[in-house]
Parts: sequence; structure tokens; C-alpha cells
Amino acid sequence: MIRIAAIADVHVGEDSAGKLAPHYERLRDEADVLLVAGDLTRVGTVAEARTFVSELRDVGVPVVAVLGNHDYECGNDREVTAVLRDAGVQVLEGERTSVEIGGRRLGIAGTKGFGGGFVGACASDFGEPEMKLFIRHTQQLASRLQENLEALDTDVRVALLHYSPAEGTLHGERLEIWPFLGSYLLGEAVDHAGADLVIHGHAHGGTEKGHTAGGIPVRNVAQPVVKAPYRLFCFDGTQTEDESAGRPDAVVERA
Amino acid sequence: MPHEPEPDDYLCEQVRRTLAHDDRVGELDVHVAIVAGKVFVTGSVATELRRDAISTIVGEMLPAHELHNDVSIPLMHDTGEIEHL
Repeated sequence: MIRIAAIADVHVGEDSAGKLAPHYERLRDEADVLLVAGDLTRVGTVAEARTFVSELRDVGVPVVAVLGNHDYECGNDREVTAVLRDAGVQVLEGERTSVEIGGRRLGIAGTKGFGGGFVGACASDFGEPEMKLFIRHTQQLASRLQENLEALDTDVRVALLHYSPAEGTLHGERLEIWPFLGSYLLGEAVDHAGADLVIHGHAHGGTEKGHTAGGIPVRNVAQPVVKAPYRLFCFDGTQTEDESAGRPDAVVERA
Repeated sequence: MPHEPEPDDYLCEQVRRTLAHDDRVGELDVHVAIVAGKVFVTGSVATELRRDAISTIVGEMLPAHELHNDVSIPLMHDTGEIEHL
């Protein structure tokens, strides 16, 4: 089996030091990998990124993350990414990775994603250059997400996003801000490529469970929604020889 | 001529923008409403320090309004049941 822990929107600041680490002590017994769906930090300073990785010091499993809008606020996203990668966190933006877990492979395609809205009420790349830039950013990220999902030849494929690919997990948020919470283009990309699960955050007032238009499960793991250190997902399957010999070692390799 | 006093709707957005950009808060999931001369702040932030800073900042911006800081901090319940997919 493949066991995934997932969380988003922890918004770690220097005032968060020591608050998360105790909640991660049991994670290695419960999951084979931790996925973090953006907004790791409060406003994306290097100091906050260092605090975040310090909180992860005892996690004991591979960590794969995408950045969220908060991680871009100070304009230090490259430096934040460098701090995370130096600490062993796989940071994906228009990229993919795979984790081997007891002879089975979990593939993850990651992007922050962006907004634009949903079918029947979405922005178009029409008119002013600023509006075109806005929606074309989403189009580009969605296109790369589809390419990366299609390129994953793994037993299980997960799309890791910050913005939502579907309306279902936004219920509870004010309808007027849905275009700033996600885009159907992300969901379309996932459905065209195929995936087993989509993990996202960003929608603090939304709901936990939804699905794409094509029926792929979507889970909003924003911490204000799940009110837990992380959520756990398990893909059951035939037990491999390695698994039957004991707990599998998870080895991350860049695809 | 600017409208005097500033309409409550604009005051609410000015407070919300300030909270988003203030180094002590930096959170977007904060909602501000002025009702009957009272200012209600709701939503969630990650730490107690940020919630306390909201009281300080809103108190400075709207000293004549009675402040109700109802901002919550996400509780850490159990991770819950494993979802089998």
C-alpha cells in the first residue's frame, strides 16, 4: 500500500517555532510521504522557510511540496525554495517526481496553480494585457501540469496544487472570490491526463472533499479546513515482497 | 469632495488591507465588518500573536469603534480516519 499524509496552509512564521513539530512525531508510523500543498510560510521570508524546515526535522519520510501565494508575498520564492531544497524538501513547480515505496511507485506532479474561475463564470484571455497575463499564467501552469501527469509512469499518480481545480471544495467560500481560489483549467488538465487524487489548499473557508468534472477525487487539506496536523490517504494494493518484509523505505528520485 | 465620514464599507477594506500587509499579521483569511458602530473581525490566523496583533492594529485604526476580535486559530484535532482510495 501507499500511505500519503497531506497538509496545506500552515502559514509558518517565526512566531510558529515549535508549534508544528510535536504534531509530526507519529507521522512516520502513519505515512510513507508528506505532501504540502502550499502556503508553507506566512509571507515567504527566508527566516520563515527556515522555521518551516525546522518544524519538519523529525518527520522521517520524504516531503514533497508546492509553494502557495503566501510564499511569494515577499518576492523571495527562489530563496525560499532553496532553503526547502537544502533541507531535503522536494519543491515542485511545473515538475514531477516519484517516490518508491516498497516496490510500488507514487508519482507526483506539482504546481502552485492559479485562479481564473470555473465553467460559466471564468476569466478569458481577452482584452487588456493585464487580463491576458492573468489567465495565460493559469493556462501555462495547467498545460505543464497535464504534461507532467502524462509523463508519470507510476502505480499511483497525484496532482499536488495550491489553487483548487474544482468547485466542490470551495463550498463555504464566498462565491465572488472563487475566481481567485482556483480554475477549471487545472481540473481539465487533470482529467485529460488522468490521476488518482488531487491535493490542494488555499480555500480556508471551503470544504474538504470534491471531485473534478471527470470524477477524480479532489481533497482540500488547508489546515483551517481539516483542523488537524495532516490528513491521511491510503492506496491499497497487492502487498509486495518488500512490504511483506517490513516497513518500506521511501526513496525520492527526480523524474 | 470626499464623503465624510468615510463609509463603513471602505473602512472595512482599509483595515483588511492593512492587516494583510502588516508584518505582525500577514494573513488574508481575515474578515472585517462594521455593524452598529462595532467592528467585528472574524476568520482564522495561525498563531495567538497574530490574533493579538489584529486587536492592536484595529484598535489603532478604529479607536472609536468597539472591537470584537472573533478570529480563531485552527485547532489541532486528531488526523482522523485514513481515507482509502
